[in-house]
Amino acid sequence: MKSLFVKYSAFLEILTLVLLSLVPLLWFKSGQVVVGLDSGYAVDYLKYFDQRIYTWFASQNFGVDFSAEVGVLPFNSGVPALVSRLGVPTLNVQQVVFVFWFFLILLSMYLFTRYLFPEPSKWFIRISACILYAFNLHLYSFWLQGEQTILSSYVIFPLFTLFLLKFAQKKEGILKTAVILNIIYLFFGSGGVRGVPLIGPVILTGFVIFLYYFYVNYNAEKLNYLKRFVFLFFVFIFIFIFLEAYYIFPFLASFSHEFYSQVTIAGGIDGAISWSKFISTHASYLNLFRLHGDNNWYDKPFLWAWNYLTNPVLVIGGFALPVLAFLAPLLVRDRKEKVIILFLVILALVGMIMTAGAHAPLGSFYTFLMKFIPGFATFRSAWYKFIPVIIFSYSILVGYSLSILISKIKMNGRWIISIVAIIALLSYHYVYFTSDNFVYNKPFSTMVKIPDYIYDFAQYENSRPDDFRTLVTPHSNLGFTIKTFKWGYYGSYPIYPLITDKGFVQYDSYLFNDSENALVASLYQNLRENDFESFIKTARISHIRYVMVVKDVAKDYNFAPTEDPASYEKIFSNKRFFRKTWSSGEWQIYEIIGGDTSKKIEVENKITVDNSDYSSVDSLFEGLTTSFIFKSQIDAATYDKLPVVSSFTEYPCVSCVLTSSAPISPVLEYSQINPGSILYKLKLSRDATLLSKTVGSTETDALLGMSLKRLSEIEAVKSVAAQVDAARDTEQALILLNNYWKRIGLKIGTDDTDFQSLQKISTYLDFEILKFKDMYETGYVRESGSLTASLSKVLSQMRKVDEKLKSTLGDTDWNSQFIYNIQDENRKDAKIFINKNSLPVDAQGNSIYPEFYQIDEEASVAARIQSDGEIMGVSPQAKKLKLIFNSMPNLAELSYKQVSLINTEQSCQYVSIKNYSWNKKYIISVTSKSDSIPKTIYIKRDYQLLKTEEFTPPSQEFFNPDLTFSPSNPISDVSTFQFSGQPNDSGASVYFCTAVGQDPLLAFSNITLTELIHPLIYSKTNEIKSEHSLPQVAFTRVNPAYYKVSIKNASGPYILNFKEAYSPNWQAIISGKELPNHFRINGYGNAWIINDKGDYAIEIKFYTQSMFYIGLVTSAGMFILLVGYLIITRLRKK
Amino acid sequence: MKKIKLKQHFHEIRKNKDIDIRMWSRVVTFAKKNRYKLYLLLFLYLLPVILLRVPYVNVRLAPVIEYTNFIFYYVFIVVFFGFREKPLFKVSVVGFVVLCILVLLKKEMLADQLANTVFFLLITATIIAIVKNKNGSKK
Repeated sequence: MKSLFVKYSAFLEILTLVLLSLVPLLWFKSGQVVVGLDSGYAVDYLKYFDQRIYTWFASQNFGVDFSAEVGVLPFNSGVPALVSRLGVPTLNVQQVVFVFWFFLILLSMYLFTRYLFPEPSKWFIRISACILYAFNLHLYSFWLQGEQTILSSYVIFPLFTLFLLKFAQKKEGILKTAVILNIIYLFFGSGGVRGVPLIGPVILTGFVIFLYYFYVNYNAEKLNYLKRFVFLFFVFIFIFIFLEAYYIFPFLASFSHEFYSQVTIAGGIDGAISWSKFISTHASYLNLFRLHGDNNWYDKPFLWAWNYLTNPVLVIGGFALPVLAFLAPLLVRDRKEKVIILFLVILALVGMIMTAGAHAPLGSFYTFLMKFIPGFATFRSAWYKFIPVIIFSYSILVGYSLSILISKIKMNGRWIISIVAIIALLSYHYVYFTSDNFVYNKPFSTMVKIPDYIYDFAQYENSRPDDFRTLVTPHSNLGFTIKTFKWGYYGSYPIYPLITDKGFVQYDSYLFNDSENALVASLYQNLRENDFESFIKTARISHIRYVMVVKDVAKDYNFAPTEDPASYEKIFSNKRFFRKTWSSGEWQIYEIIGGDTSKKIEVENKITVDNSDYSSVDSLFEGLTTSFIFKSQIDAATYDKLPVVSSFTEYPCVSCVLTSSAPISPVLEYSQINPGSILYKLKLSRDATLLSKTVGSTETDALLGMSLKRLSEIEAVKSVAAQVDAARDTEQALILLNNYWKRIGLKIGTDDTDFQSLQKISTYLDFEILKFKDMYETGYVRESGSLTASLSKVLSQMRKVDEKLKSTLGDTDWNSQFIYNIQDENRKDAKIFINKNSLPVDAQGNSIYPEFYQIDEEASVAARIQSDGEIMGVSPQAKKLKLIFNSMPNLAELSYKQVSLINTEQSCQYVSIKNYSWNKKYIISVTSKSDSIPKTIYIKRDYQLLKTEEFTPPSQEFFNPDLTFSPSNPISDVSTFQFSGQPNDSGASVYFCTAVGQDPLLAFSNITLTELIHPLIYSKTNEIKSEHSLPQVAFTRVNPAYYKVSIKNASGPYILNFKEAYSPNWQAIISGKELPNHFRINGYGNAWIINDKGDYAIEIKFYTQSMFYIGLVTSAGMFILLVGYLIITRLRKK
Repeated sequence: MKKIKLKQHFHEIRKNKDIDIRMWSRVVTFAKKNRYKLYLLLFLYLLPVILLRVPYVNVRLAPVIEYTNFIFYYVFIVVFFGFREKPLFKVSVVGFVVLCILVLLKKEMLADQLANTVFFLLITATIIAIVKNKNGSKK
């Protein structure tokens, strides 16, 4: 029996691995599939794969450059598509894919352990190591999304380590090792360029192997060893470049664009460091020893991981792992084995340093690496990237220790104990044998049943012959672009490209460009305002012909609420503008009547130029008849060649800063060097140098910053007042403060359009006055006469500044008077208009126009505004325009109500806001009528929130205000507050409350509630007629990255407009020559100015696609070469 | 007198059944001979206490104070057991049991500090083991 076992041990062990790899079948419930979060699984695998073989991903918004994503192709879409192509039913594809990866992970670890411990008697080490490696909690969290790139990184790790170890031990040569490593990388490279962070464990282990064996080697062999490794590195890289060319070439071709995008997403190195600190919050050694520390596990009692943190048996089980792992160096007897065991121990410890990331005590070392090692910032999620190193080492060390300990038991049938030990290891990872943990945050899950209407939708879209885009409504949440559906979908990317290759526009993180964002925002805003004319114009420009209502969106999800789909359904019920073309279940598609009928490639002979920033699109579309460009997006040489027929400029409202943007509150930071310190003089001298270098508004900023510095010093002195001469130290800072405020006072009024500085001064002034008022209560201030005098002096200086500020800003209601900077040398004969959509409306819905205006310093006169919005009487030389409205409509029609808060009852006057819109801002203004009656203002928005595992909506038993404001108490004090809503609001009310039994109208007077508006002013020249006639154009779409265009009868310069998102990688080629003058049109598209006359063909190509083809051929050639080499070496050996 | 390890010293005291004034004299002798180690321990023990009382610096030095805590435990164990592979591995393994108990008792703060100590003890023990294993291979 024993000999039979020995003979067939390998077979039995592999059979065990096969059985273990069937575990994922326990996870799938009938009809459910994994989709959403970061899983990357498609709904239609083949359709999705067909899209992913191109570097241009056309179905998302206006198209996305996927040049850096090609490396993901084999994993994210390749494997499932292959399985699907083999005829496996769609719902079973993932089961096959999961089992496939599970087996490969087990097998790769098995090969590694078999190399280390080949004896049949050591089967326990092999099997237990495989189990611990494949059944671990880190990997489990990725199984819950079936993330194939992570799974492949688990396959590559033991295989790479195996061949590197063989090489270090001189069992393999340089070329053969380089070839094998490259072939392994080709198949399991974790997603190409994107996957580099995932092979962090491989890189780290490579370093440890190199250094460890360098040290372990005899001194005489060290140089030779070093040479071999250096050679291996270079040979590996050489082969690598050619073998992985299929994704390296397109990536390099798009590097500058890609780099910009990635840096923007990551928020630069500082952003990466902050992220790293966040991820490492729980990565203490205490947690890492037991393979814990995932930032997602903590504070979530509903998560599967919670048991591992709280259940005593699992806590003990967790600590059993390091006990067994670090017992190995004590138990090992064989010297050769000790070399391996010590290597694994040091690997685990080095792995821990890296896995801890920015966590203390060695976190500063990690952040140092991020700051100073180029590219290291890519490992910003340290825990996720490096914990496989610890898991890998532990797997073998624990198996080894258990094996030795079992062998020490003096009894027959030790194999039973071995089996029990294996069962114990599996039991600790019991979550692998359950199926409920795919739930991400109930009702959201990564394992869902896709509703039938989504399959209907796929069928409908795939049969639609045209290539127009569809606008998806409702708008996603602006702050958190996660996509959620009531049926459980929770994904970081939109679902539509997973279903069909047709284009869908939706607000999401793939709108990198500000002008694209502005265009999409304008589309939704036009719909909200029922401004269908502007909507249709914007939709035409965007090549959008359809709109879609997605009624099953989880609009009440507290983390990312969205607008109510019903509101869009109501908008689209207007049969004058929309016609329903398809509907199934919760999804509906409408065609825009009079929408875009143009083709994706068109020719034009006139263009409008917008001289303003991207936010001006709303005004731009008023009267726009041509395509447009933003002047800031085009180089001067190309601009000079454009057939510009009209020019547009929006003028900034300089006074709007006082109402639109909330002032940034000053923050006091802890001051380390304070008055009284010997270093203080140095600090002051540095500050003086900084101040001397500033001018204009920068000087004001610097002075305000210095005043805050001194204040923080005073606060620091206050905190240690008992140990220092607080009065003397405080006075020293106060003298400087007095000087700063004197200088700030002098700056006020020097620039009457710099409202931003005035607002900042006002905020700082209020903040500091409040702090100083509090200081009078401090003991040592009261005791020191000279300090009190200094304090009074500073306060008096600050009051002077306050008075000057008030006299400059006056008692103006800045929500009814607006100052514009209209200085524009190029205006000449251009007319000035007011955007009617930006005006307030009265109760009947009519626009309210300004009563007066004031040009420069002239006296204000009655406003003369034409019906098309033209403001009359503004000369081309005018620099400043002030619009004066009588007053904004007061929305406060009060009613009485008594409300029950959780602790108290209050009597209130309230107003329910008419025509409330969540994305508008409202201003409340009240005057205090009594200083003895308590006053509070509450904002209560009407909305519902979805109950999730993480969040329980507050009880409706009590009145739960969303915002609470405390108005000023002294009689006649005016208090103003602003608020706006959330996308899922259906309405809102404002409550003006006081104590129960008292009349709120005795506490407040002059109650006003107005909508915050910013009228938009712009100039537009009259359109001049174009001199050139247009050629005829026809085109064929060969694939998403290649179009063939035919031009006939071209007689002069014209613009070729190609309506895919602009990318420098798009090329227009005539007779093999790439056209210059490529520019962004309509805020998102590609355009070229073409001068060639007659009939000819143009090819429009996405450059990196050609690089992908070249790379693919190179990779295939290299692969054949390497396989040939391996076969020949094998044959020679025989 | 040759320097002796603290553990050996106590072992000798235990062996000596005649516990009287001589024991204290031996403790004193031992303390004298190892005074620099004891000064270091005392310094590390008192450092956080001192730092916490220095005006203006107490907040910024919080991480340093945290470091001194686990460095104190580390130095204490190394002084007690010496730079030797096996005892340090054994202490670390026992350390995990202690950590487990502390976590079960919800003493996470202390456990965190001790885990850092265990980590550095393991690093020390492994480096010693690697050096020793290599030297051994030459013989």
